Amino acid sequence: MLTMVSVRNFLSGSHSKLKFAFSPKILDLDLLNVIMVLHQIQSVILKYGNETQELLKWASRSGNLGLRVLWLILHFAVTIWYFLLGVVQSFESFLIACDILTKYEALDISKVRYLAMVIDSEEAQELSKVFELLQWVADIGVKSVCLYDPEGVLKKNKEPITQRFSSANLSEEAAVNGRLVTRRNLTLEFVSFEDGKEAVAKAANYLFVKHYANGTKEKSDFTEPQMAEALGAIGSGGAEPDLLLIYGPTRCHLGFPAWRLRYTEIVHMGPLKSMSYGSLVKAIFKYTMVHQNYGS
Amino acid sequence: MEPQKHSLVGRLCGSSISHMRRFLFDVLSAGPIPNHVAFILDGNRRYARKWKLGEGMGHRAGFLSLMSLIKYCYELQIKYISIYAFSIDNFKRKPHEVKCLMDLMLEKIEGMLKERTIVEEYGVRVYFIGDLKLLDDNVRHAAEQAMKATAKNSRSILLICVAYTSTDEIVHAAQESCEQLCDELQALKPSEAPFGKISDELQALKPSGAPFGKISEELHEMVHAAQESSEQLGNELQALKPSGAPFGKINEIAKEKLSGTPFGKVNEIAKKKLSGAPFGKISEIMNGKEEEKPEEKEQGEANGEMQEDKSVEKSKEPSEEEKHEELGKEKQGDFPNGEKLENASEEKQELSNGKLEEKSEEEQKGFVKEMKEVQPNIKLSDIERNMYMGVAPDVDILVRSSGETRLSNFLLWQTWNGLLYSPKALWPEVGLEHLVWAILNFQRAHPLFEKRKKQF
Repeated sequence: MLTMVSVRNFLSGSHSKLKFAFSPKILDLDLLNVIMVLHQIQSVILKYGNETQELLKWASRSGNLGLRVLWLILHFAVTIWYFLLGVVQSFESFLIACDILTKYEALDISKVRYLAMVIDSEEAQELSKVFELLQWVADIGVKSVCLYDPEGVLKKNKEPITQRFSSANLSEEAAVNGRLVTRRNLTLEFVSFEDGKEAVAKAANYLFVKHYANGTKEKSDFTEPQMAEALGAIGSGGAEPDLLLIYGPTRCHLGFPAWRLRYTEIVHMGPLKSMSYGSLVKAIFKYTMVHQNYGS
Repeated sequence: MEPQKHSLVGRLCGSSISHMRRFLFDVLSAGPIPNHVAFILDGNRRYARKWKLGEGMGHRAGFLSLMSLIKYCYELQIKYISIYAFSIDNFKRKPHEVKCLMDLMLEKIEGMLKERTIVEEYGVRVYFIGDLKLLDDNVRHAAEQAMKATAKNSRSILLICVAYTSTDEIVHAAQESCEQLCDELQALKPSEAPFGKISDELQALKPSGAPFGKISEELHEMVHAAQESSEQLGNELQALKPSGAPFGKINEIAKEKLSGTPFGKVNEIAKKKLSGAPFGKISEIMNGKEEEKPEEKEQGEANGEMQEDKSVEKSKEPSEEEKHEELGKEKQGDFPNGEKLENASEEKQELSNGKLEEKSEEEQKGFVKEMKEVQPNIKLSDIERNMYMGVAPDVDILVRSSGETRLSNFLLWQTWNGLLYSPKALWPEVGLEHLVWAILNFQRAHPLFEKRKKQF
């Protein structure tokens, strides 16, 4: 309405300037009419434009909602699938533990020289479970184990764990599966997140002091053995594990030191709370049957 | 009519399949979509053996499936894709197989440069990650061209890892960080910059001749003056007004510098060249220094030292000047005399060299100690910045085909918070369903990944 008034004022103001052949009054009236019609068209378009915009918004929101609902249904289906899978796996490990599936007895443990276990930090707080797991590992015959958890929970509890597994008597024997198995000591190594990335930074500092001390670069570039030596010197060295078992909700190695993870087979065992002896045996057995290519 | 109908039906089918696929992607997009997906292209050779294709055909089949997967990823708006095309370990394969792969790579890179369909459609920027120096020249050249040609794009990023292993990347990053730290330290120490200039000045001075041992101390002072002037006024030995504080330090550092290589070099040069002209210059410089000295004395620390030196120098100066002129004259004269002088000067030089060497060793040790005391502070962020893969964020999903569960030295550093997925299918058989399954698993695990990311 404001524009109408201003247009009319303008027209009346310029009325005096419109000195043409035809009657100025008729011209004035015609122009005003045209402008009013245009204005009405404009308001109609805006009104419907707004409405269509709102309609589109509603449509997209409901479309999004619809997609979201479909997405939830899809994930529900995936959850059911995993549930069923879990049931089948528990049944299988039950059978293994009861020695019904006998093929896992032919386990050649010497192929697993160094076993590593990545445990989710929250679940690692339950030390009883950790003890149980390590006991199974020792029973299977593994000699050295590397325990990793990102926050270092197991590192903090180093004392009780090592006490439990280093003081086992060598003379104590247990009859397992009809074979006499000597309970051996477990060599344990405790690793946490700092031994991965931070250690590489420290190793770089070590190499700097060693090779750049004269202010200029020595002739050759760093080599991998030099880096390995540097990592060893700062206390984050250690053998590369053959097999890595992940006890956690996700299939992720949670930052295990990258330098040692080159050709390690990685197996996800599920959460610690649902661990079982059978799945452990199965995983180790599968590893020992694997044929490695190593790129060539 | 028939073929047209066929193609019509075919097209309808194709478009309906692609519509269904787009719909599926829309459903998936209702949840979190990964930012960075990595693929290990494993199983091409096994596929070729399984279907009895020729050698090298497995890799071509793998390439086709790679292209379709990349297209799916870009439709899903996954921004970063990494592929493990060739490992440093793969160089151990049979030479003709390696050559076959290199030829295939070259062909595909050149094809991409010519056609640019996917590249332009999705705005793809290509990076070649790894130790490119290990590749053949033509492949490397093509790779660099491809990187340059796509540098302007930024909508999606494709990282092709050739001649790459994670351990090599870590070592390289450590190396680069050390180099950068070394450069930084050198830039901080002012004495190190005019190092070459000092040796030039010393060459110009050419202190040869009999009283070498005696001159050595004076030379320290001279060089220190020369160094100051070179720092502030360039090569002119005019009256300078060095501020008191760094005076003693520069003196020290100059002494250290002198103990290093150029001084020994100068000795050699001094032994070789016994020309008259430089002596005049030396006397000039010494005169100039004398003028300087009172001014310096007014300002600086180590006043006592200064006075001593000055007096010593003053007393020595005429005699030295005399001697220099003598030498000059004698050199111009009989050769045998000159030789004799040379020998004498050599002996004295040896003596002084011995003294200097001792001094230089001590001072070198001091310098080394200083470097060590500097406490190199390479941080984790420096290492991450210098990684080849520093251009991309951490990996969200790593897909390794053919059921292998190891990482084979690929992205060991970047997968710390990523899902590892190992479908049993061989690489040419990997398709849409595997990608969708990987993304569904990622979406299930996403809240945990986010929590962990905040922690570390």
